[in-house]
Amino acid sequence: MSIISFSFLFFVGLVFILYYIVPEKCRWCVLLFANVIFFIVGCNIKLFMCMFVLVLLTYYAAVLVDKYRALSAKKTKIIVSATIIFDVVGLIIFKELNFFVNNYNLLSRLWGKSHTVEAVSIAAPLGVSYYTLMLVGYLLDVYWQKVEAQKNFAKFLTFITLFPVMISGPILRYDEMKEQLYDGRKFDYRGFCFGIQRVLWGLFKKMVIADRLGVIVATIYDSGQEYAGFYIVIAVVAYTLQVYMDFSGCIDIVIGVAELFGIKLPENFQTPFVSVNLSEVWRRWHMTLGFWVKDYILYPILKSDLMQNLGEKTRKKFGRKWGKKIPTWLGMFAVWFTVGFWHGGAWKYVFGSGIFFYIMIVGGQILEPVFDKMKKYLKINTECASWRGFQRIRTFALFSASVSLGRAASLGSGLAMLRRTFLCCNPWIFVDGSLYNLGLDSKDFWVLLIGLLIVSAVSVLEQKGSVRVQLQKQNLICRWFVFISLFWVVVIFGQYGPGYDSSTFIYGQF
Amino acid sequence: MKRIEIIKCCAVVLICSMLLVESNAIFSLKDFHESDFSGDLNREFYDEEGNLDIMFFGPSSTLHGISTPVMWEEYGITAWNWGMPNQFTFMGYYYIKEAVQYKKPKVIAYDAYGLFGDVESMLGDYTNQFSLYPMKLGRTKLEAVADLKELREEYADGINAANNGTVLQYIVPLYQFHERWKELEEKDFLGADYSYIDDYEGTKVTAFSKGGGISRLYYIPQDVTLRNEEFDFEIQPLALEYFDKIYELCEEEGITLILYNVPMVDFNTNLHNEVQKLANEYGLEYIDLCELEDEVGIDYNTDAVDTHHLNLWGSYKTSVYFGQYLQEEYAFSDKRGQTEYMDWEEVAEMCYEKIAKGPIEENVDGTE
Repeated sequence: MSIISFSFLFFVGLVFILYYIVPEKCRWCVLLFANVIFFIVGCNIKLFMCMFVLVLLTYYAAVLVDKYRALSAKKTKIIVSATIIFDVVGLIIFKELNFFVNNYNLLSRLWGKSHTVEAVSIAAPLGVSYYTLMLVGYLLDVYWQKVEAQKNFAKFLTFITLFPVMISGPILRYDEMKEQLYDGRKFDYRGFCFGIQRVLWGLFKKMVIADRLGVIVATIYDSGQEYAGFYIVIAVVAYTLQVYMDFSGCIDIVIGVAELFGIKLPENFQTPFVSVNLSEVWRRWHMTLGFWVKDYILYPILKSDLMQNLGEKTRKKFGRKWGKKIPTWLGMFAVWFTVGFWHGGAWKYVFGSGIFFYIMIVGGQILEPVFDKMKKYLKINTECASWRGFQRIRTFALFSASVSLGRAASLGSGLAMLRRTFLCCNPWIFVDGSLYNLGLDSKDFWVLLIGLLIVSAVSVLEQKGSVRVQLQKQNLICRWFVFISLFWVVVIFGQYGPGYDSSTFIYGQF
Repeated sequence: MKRIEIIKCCAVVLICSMLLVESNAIFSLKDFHESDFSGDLNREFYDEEGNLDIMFFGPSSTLHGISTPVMWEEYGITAWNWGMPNQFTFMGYYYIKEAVQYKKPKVIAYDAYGLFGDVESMLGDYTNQFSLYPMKLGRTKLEAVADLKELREEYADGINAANNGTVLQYIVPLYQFHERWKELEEKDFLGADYSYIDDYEGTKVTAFSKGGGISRLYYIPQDVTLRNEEFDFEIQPLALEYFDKIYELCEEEGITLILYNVPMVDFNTNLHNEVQKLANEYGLEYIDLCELEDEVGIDYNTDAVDTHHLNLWGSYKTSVYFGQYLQEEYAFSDKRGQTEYMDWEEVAEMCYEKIAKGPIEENVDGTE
């Protein structure tokens, strides 16, 4: 069941009514029921059972950790490690197995061996990439005594399988969600209105903007080597914006739906394109994933005995400043590799969504003294708006170039495509009407442009506070005008109907 | 939830619904292909107040071949032409089902040519969708859409999957036509006037209101000697299944069902025999106006536009002959001169003006 479908709207409506009909104490049961239905309809009963087994395993592991914590630290460590291995292996089998198959075949070819393994095609349970991280995070939180283990399995299952989250996240944390989920929320009219507004805003971003950008992207990316020069720039920028509008639009819908049930989900985006460096982008882009890898991969690595010992040695050898950074860089490598690998079992993701950023961020830190000297030598004022503007454009360009590798067929073809940017200079395509041959006519381009301007304006306003709260202060007619206009714009200018497939989200595949 | 909040929610839902309904009307196609907009013409049926003596159903051969204004003018028969492109037995059944909910005529005449549809024509064609748009949203329409969807899945191998649509597409035109925001014109906002359309889009076609069908005002000479007497076509099981439903429905409603077909070069003795066999099996009356083309007085040199469709003068001759037969056979009362049927007079007057004007010869380049 796609979250952009009338069946989903109908489903949400039904769950909404049921949720508020039953007594507050039992409301989480309605959510559990909805989650199970959504999961089974979204994939099938067998895949539901696969997920169920891992959830059960993690649930018991957490209960046992709570029970044996005082008795045996070693035992609990073994339980936690084994369960995490099971969870992660589950994710790898369903989503990333071909990474190993393809690399085995590649190495076989390099060593001149003829033996190859056929790629496997396994249907994955709904939201496996998201619920696996939630399971691991929960178990580690219990292990680190940040939260108490949930004793009621049904309640735990409600948290892990929360239905709106199963499509594209956000990645939830148990301690942030438990009260909201289990206490039963009272109906809140304001929250209800906010929820619907947020859903509409998500639909606008996805159906009016992202799907139009997708037409341009598909035309250029799927055409082989036909395009070069500024066409590649357009494709790369359009793809980055498409991913943003698509993913953040989906998250808006998910957060909006949760708001209908009085549940506040964590934000996943915070105007990422105002970032002045790549580290900042990742603090604003897919934030729940960023926090997850930081809390459950980076910090544990840095706090490990191995890294502490290494840190001591490197400080002695390279001095305090650089010696401290070496263990951090090693930890960061694990983080970025995980982020890339999580996006998909292919080098284009591992490199484009992971290693590339690692190289750029670590490289930036290593070369920082050189850049500082250059700025000083060239007398560059770094405290003015133009410098910040330059930093934003530079950051966007680097981010786009890297993320765009994920759209190509492979890492090689993605890099080859980026190389074609420099093969010719064709600025006339911006004025001779060539852009209208990319699948959108002039009217669609206007809709796209105005849509992007509206989203940008709202992003700027968001910096000063919630736009919905600001809107709430306006008169009824103004509020309704905005709300109903947004609804109508989605209905008329949305890309849907025969010949369109608005139902899939880019981040749904990860 | 407080009362004021409920009122506010209801008000927003109401405004959004009104907006959708209005948008649906604006964005719906106004320029259906000349024969395709026949479906839209039938929206008027829902406002028809008078009784109907007979309703004609069938594909485009009926739409262009039966002139109900002529039947009114000559015999005072109130008849409605429900002909539509590709209205084979599948769509015919659902339109009959829809129509009899509102009117109970004495006779329903079904064009036998509608029996000769293959699976692609019955289910795969895009016109199914256009045909369904004018049908009022209700049980019959939902049933037709669900049935169409189910049959399209069942016969997926025999039809063009590109025309597969969603349930929404059939019942909410906006779902498909919202993309027309790029091409909206003044007439989209003002609403198309289907009551009397002349020289429609330069194709020299007139549509008559009150189920008057669509008539072409030109002729293209047809060589009747080229009629292929060898051609044979067995009525398909799916067509038979829905014909059976038509029969059962008329039986239930106490309406007499008759079979007929209009004169056309494409019809031959083999097809006649197929229909006759079926008519005998069901005990139905079958009037083959093609067999009677000499009595009807059809001249394919001046009364047709192709091997399949008659023009206004062809439909005039057919309707004069067929109307007389129906009048004698079913003794319909003559309603001419009655004040409540004045609007039928008006339509007939328009029709006869056109008939008097005479046909335009179609040149190769399509100009007069």
